[in-house]
Amino acid sequence: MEERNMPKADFVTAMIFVAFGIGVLVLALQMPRFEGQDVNPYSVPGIVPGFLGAIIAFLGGVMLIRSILKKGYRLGIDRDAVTRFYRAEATKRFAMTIVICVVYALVVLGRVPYEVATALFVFAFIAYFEYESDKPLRAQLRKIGIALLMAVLVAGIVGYVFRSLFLVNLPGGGLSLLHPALPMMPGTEGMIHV
Amino acid sequence: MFEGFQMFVDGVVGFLNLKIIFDVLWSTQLGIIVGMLPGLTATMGVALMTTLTFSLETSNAVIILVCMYIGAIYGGSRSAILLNIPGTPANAATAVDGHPLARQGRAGRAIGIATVGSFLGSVIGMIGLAFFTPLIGNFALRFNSHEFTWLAIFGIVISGNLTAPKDPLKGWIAGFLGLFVAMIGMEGIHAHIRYSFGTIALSGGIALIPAMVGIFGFSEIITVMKQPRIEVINTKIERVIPRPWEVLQYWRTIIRSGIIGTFVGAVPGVGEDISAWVSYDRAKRASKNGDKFGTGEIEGLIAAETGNNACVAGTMIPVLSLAIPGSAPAAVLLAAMFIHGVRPGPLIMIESPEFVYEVVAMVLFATTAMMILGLSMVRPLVKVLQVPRQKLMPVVFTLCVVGSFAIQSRVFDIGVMVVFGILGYYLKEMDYPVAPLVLGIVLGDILDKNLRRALILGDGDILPFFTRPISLVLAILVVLTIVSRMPWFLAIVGGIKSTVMRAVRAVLPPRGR
Repeated sequence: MEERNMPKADFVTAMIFVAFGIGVLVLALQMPRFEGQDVNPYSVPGIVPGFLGAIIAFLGGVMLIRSILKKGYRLGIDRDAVTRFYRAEATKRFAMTIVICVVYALVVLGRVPYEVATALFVFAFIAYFEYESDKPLRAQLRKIGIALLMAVLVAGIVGYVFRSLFLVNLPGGGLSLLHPALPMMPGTEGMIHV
Repeated sequence: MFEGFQMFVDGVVGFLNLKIIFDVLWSTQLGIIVGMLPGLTATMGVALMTTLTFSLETSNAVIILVCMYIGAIYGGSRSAILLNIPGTPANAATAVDGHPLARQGRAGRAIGIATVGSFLGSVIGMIGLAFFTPLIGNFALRFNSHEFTWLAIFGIVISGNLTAPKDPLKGWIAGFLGLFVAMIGMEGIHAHIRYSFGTIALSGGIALIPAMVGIFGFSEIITVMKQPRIEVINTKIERVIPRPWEVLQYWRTIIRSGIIGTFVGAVPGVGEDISAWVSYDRAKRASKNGDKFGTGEIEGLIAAETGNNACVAGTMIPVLSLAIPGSAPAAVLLAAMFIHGVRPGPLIMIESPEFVYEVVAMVLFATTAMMILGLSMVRPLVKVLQVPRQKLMPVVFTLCVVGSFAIQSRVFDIGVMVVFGILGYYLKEMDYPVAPLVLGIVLGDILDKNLRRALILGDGDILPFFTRPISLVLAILVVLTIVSRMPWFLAIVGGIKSTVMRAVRAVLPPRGR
């Protein structure tokens, strides 16, 4: 981010932090105090989060004041600025990276076998970023072929190595032809918490 | 002392078998490749390795992680020298003099000197690790809840201070956000579920490894893909192995940078990038060629690389003795030790002192492998840097997904990785350091339990936080760390300094009379 835009970003984020800190504090105050259960009042669960909420709100407040002193409240958002932002090549690359990754991780994975989802993802990612819209498709067939080959190789190798060599479960199960998904011990899901 | 040396020798002998040596070689080599590639950091490499090795025996798994860590911090120097893009943040200072050397056609020499500098730094760090871990561990046996509360706060404050040189306020905010993240889920005293909003998955809390894979993996992918295309320079690489005198003439810089790196590493949540910059800055001030730094000065390159690799072993000192990480990759290492049933912390010198010296032996193996591989496989590895980012990044993301999912087999953790990746990206864009955030996630539980325990012990009395001697020292350190960055404090210190100097000049007889 450009240095001259930092006070504006600080102004917006400081407001978010103040609201967030207050929210954390309010929810901490609403936590049970187990008064009827003869519990030591200094052990109640809301003490530490309440303390943290207050500190985050305070630090956010300091940043808010500082950004106001630097005139960060003059956000200067106009039609031109928004258009420039949306048309920037970096914004497109940024948005498409997030979209392709999020669709793979949160939508496709788990619904289709792991290898299929991964191959689709790798192909879509490489094809999107390598495709040049100003050149005819025929001239880019080699690139697309390489993307396809990489997609199949990555999905197959990652699936095989992790399941068969490292004995790791993969989301969405596997292609039964290659290797069946490892069974989970009943009740062990989420047991290790690190 | 002798017992410690005996345990170290036992550790070395225990690792002298073909399987371990093979594991050391491949994991160090993989670490070098991970470190070389911009977008892949040491933290992510160690996090991914943790998920892959959790079915292995403890010392076998930990040695792989240590090799990955040391290899990656060293490996970042390759891209810093050849491309002027630090492979990991730890190598930013390396690029300042390393890349000009490559542009002068001395890339091979720069790589060789960076390798030897990293090796010597790592050896100095290893000596520090062996010497200070038992000392600090034994001292920390005197800590109770009051001291651990202050230690958690001190960790956040110092980490925020040092990782956000422009604006420590942002570092502190990031740290306290991390502490809050650790509050989510079931707490450890009354088993009350906090901030889950009725979501079952959230009631288990936010796991450290998916959050870190997101912060250091996915956010890096977004950053790398957003940037304009990187032009790879084809650099001719000549002789790599340096002559002994080329390195040994800088022995003062090497020892100074090694000591700085070790100590900066031992400070919670600060890490290799800061230690490299501090070492570089000190070398620049002390050198008679200080004005040539930045133009391809070998001494600058040595200072940066010695500093960052000495820091790696230094970060393990608080991991083992206090269960507090010295850097982000060390936080993953700490988590991995917990997974494998090792309990780092003050009791480690009583419960399993041999593990401390095994870790020292692991550092020795990793360092030796790094030196051998670093000097021997330079030309083929340069080709790795020529893989286009659009082909590499989807593979990296695939590994991020598997790394987040593998330990607990929860799809929810993939979501955690994605959310923390996007959050990490925005925080970095707005100059918030992410290391305090990670440290906060680790220290949150320590703060939560110890603050409440301390209040219970004192029946709500907060005076012991300021009257117990170690607590008082930590409290003063916290206050000094905070005010040391305030303009009014700097003005007062400056005023006192000039008054004292005037008084001294008035008292002492003038020179030359």
